[in-house]
Amino acid sequence: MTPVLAVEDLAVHFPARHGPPVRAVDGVSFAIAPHETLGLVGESGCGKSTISNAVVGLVAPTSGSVRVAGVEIAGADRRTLREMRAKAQMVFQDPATSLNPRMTVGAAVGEPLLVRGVARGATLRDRVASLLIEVGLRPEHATRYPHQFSGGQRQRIVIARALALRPALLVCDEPVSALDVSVRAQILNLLVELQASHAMACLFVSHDLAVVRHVCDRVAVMYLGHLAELAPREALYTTPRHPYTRALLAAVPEPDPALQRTKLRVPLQGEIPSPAAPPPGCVFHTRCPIAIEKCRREVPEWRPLGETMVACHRTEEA
Amino acid sequence: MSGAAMTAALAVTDLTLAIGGVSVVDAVGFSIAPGEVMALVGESGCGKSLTAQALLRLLPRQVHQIGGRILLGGEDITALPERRMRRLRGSRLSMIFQEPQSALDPLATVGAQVCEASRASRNAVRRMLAEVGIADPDRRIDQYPFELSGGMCQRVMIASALIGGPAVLVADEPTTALDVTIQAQILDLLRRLAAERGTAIVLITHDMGVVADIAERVAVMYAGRIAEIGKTEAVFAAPRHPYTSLLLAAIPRLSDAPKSRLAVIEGSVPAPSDYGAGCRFAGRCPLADARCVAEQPPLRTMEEGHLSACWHAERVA
Repeated sequence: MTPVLAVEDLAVHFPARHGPPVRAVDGVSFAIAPHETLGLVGESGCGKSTISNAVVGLVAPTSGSVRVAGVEIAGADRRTLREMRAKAQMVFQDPATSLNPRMTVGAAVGEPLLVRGVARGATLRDRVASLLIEVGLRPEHATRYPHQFSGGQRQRIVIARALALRPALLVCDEPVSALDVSVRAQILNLLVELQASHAMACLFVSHDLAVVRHVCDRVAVMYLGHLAELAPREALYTTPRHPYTRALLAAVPEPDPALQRTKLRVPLQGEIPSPAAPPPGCVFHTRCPIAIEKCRREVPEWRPLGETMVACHRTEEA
Repeated sequence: MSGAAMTAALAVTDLTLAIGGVSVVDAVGFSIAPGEVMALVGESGCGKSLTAQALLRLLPRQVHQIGGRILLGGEDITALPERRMRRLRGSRLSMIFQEPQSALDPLATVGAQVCEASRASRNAVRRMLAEVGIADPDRRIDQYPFELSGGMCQRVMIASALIGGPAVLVADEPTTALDVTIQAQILDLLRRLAAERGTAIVLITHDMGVVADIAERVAVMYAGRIAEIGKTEAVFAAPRHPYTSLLLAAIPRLSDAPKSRLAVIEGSVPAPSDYGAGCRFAGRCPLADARCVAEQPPLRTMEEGHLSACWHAERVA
């Protein structure tokens, strides 16, 4: 079966005005099968948003390959990109800034259908109405403006717009990070339901490990532009293979005092290095509790270990 | 720790704040013992940050305190003249903020910011920087905020808040802008400071994980009022307010079944102008009845030190 998304050896570098380019993403490979949700987690600046932007063609890869439903988009012409964008749609973090304040909700949700010539007139109105119902809003909301809605409702509008063209791939970049806990639960429930009912593949980018575990089938962990580990959900959360994954899981405070206070702490020392000057060898070695000389010299190979893919020299030792 | 014999580091009673005649924080009260960490938790707009700002009398111009008293180490500071209040800030009462980079003066060196509040010696500043975990304080002391990472800036802000040796530290979402591994470092630091220096910490947060990690007691706020207050273990294990209970169920946990339906709280928080006469959560509460809509439930003691403002507290699962 062709994966909906196949990323191979992707690199995205941004030129800097002074000095070396910022190596936002380097040597990243993964694929997403139809109906599958892949989570991409990591801390700020690790390159996870750059990957999601590259996948929908918003930034051009420096090298490597990105194929959406089998079509190569690295170096593709505008027509191919336009075709591809109907298949891969995006939901951004802040619903307040991803909607045009001067466009009614109906116009925003209907725009993809209109510009692609899929529907107009009464058909368009019907399609918009059914999309709004699908995301838990009402058809009469179509005539209102974004400012008349709460944050959670706005995110529903954004999701309706992303679903309008029945994409094969939905890219969600921190879709619930700007929302309060009670609203976040509503949107997560909605995303889980829609992903199943639309049989979409989903790339779910987040810094929140508990949210990612809740919605994803497989999870990739990123650090400083590189994938550290990629594994099925249960394997990643129960037997993390990379020391960074372990530290990240240990650092998430669990909303359960009894559990949290007995949890093993793996405090990471120091700060994330600059992606403009990534450390040699394994990029994590400057903060890794088990790094040895080899880690400072040699880039670890991206290799399988059971059902997990991992990039670490020392994973068997720890 | 809240024994009657011991003077609370900070005691707040009936704090009421209003914007243009509409009360946005209503009769909020709590007290904190020296060395204790208490969390004030709630969603956006619940009044937790305004409460924090009122403690230091740093409220935005349009917000007025129209009632209540604030006692610092037993001394009533509610009516203190601004001149004396200013001397209190940074010495006996300090605050740290959410965005360390924007809370620091970009034109002042680390050393200058840290000693500004207390005229401490360079040596004292260097020791303080080392105490909050800044490696190489001799170099950092002459650097500017833009040369530091977010986590490092937060440490500098904590150093400047602590150098005057305050009895009470108000921390408003101190780790919200930070990554989880850095957040863990800062929470460890706050915990150590409370234990070693006996500083009482009021921690404002929206994150139940942070509460579970660091707070001994927690006050859950909803729409400007305290819904529930008690020991953290007790509140998490057996919440006595439907809002707390639903809020806890709405958080995805590492122990949940994946893709299961999360509990949701229907509707959204009412605007202050729509607050009714009764319980402000009534419109979204599965237990609400006619009395809840008509009559405001008082905070009442359920168990020792565990209070809930709900007419149906006994029925909360």
